[in-house]
Amino acid sequence: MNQNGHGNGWVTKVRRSLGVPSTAIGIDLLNGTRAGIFLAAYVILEWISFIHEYKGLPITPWNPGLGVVFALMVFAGSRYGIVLFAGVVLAEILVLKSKLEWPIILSIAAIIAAGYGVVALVLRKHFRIDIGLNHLSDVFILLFAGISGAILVALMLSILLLTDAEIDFGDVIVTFAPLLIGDAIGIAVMTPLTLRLILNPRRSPIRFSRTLVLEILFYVLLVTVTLWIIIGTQSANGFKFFYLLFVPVVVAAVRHGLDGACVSLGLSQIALVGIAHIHSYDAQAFTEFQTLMLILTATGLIVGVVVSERVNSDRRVREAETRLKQRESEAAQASSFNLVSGMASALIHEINQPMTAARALARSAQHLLRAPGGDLGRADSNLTTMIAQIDHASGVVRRMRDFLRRGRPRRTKCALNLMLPKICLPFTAIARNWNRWCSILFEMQSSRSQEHVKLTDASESPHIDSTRPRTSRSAYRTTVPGSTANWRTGYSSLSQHRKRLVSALACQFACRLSNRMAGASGSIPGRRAQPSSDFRCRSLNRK
Amino acid sequence: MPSPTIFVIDDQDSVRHALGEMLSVFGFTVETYGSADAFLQAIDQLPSGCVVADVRMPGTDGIELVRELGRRKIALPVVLISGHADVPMAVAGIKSGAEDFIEKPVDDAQLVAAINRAFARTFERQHLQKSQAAVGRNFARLTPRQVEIFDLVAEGFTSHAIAAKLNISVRTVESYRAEIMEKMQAESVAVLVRQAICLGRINP
Repeated sequence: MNQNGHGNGWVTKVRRSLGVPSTAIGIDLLNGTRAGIFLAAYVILEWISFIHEYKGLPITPWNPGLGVVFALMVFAGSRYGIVLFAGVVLAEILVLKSKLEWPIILSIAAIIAAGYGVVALVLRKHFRIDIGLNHLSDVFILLFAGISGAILVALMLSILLLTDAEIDFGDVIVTFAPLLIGDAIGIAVMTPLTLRLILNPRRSPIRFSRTLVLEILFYVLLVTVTLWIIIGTQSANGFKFFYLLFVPVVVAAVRHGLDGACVSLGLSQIALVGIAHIHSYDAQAFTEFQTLMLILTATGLIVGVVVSERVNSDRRVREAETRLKQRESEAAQASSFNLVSGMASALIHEINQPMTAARALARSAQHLLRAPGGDLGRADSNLTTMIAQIDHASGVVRRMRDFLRRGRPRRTKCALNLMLPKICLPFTAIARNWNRWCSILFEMQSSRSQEHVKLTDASESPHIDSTRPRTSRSAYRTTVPGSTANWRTGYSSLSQHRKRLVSALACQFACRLSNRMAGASGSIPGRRAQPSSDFRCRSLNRK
Repeated sequence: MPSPTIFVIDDQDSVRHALGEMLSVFGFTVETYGSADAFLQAIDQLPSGCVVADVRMPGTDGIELVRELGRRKIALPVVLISGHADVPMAVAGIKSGAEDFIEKPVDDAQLVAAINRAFARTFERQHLQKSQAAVGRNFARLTPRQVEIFDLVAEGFTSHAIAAKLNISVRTVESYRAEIMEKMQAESVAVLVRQAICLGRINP
């Protein structure tokens, strides 16, 4: 999901395409299929975006096919320039119905393919661009590469056409700007979209849902309406409203990062082309719109990538925090193990010493008793010392046991009305935090029949079971208010009578959150309440 | 010869006294010390014997005691006992030169076996030293000519060869040999050869 993921994918992809035993042009079946799909996409996009030609040149100031194929070249290598070459040739023949001669068509295709091939090569090898465009620098490099590639290709094409004497110098100035803008905008809009959403769709953090579809529809509506105001009204002031387009683009970028920016820019661009098409807008004005669109694209992409970067870094911080917590708990475990092992070692020493002495004394007493005419007095004294040693060892064990027992609760009588506030405390905090009421189920369990729990007040408590003789379990349901910030309101519904009855009570007391706080949205309160939702208190009066 | 003494060293009174009592009931002469340092202070006046020492003690510990005895070139075998025996500790104990390493609570049969083994080794060493000293004394009584013939006999030359080598008669050689055998108290040439090895006159 992060830059590393992209980096790895990129490396494997490159290795795979390089490592394949070369067929005629070094493209295997899979890569061939991909190349075919992109070729078809190029031709179709050319057909869609074609508005008019100028003396055989496709001077549409928006070149989406180029952006798509350029994405493939950045993703999989400059060798896919061949797709661009084939695409340009096919588009000239099929879409533009070009009247140019074959050598010219092939030269145009060769110039476009070679120019963008070089740019893609420099991007991959020199700048090592991250195809996920996870950093601001990647977006800047891509935009810069698109514009410089467009300038390069436009210059070379102009020179070619000038030498051909097909076009004079005046025509070059007319065609140069739309060609440049069209290529640049094609790359700026379509290449990030293709890289992010088509070539590695798994990386996209956007999950489709009904709200997302509605949101997209909203953007479409907003963009269409805005463009209608700008173009459709045919007013001279249309340009003034162009800034309105920034609203959906920036909102989408802020909400969904780079993916949102890519999609909304694509939508805006398609809508712009569509509306210009319907109203048969004149090419020069359209070029001016495209220049504005280029600025909008740069803004949207930059906002999107900054948001994405921030989201990514937030996630990384959270992951680091989780890892840190895990390490901390491991360290705590290790230290407690260390403590236990140290204690065990000390305990073994304390018991081993008297055992060593006792064994030696027992053997000496045995030896004395077995020997004929043995010194019985000495044997007796040895046995006495031995008993003292064994007592010493048992003393160590007893002290240890006492020490461990000290941690256990002591059961005494206490008043329940003093206990309940403490038990309710964690739940009160949760309820107050979420400004909701929460319902708490109290369960009381007693192991002895004479300490039978009496929470028998039928008017208030429906969950009462006082019939079982050995272990009785009584339940009482109450609510803890959050908004009033005073749990006592809930607690005071326990009647005075009941408080008195349960005051002399030695029992195990458990309470848990019996429902998710009504009105609080699904997962959050449940998750928040989980760690403290089973609060057990074995002692009613801990000292 | 005075009976060998066992020196029990343990910082804990109960263990020290109990082990001492057991070993003395078994018939050993026992002296007890509360620390290795106290034992080392008194070591010059002590008879030969065997040390039974705890490993973990305040001050000089058991392993350090074995090393110190080695440094002072005192040939006292040491049996180490420990309640926290682990492999690294046992290895360190044996490498430092301890006779044996026994875990607490001590199995008396094991302890006595270790002590007896240590004593046996000490006696063997003492015996060897004693016999070496006697051979040296005997050898010192030989005349230079007798020494010359002693060396040649030990190297395996026959009487004829020795006579030819020293340019004397075989009978003279024979009489020298008889005198040498008598002075060295050797019953056979084989014993003589062993004595020569013991004295370092020839290489085994």
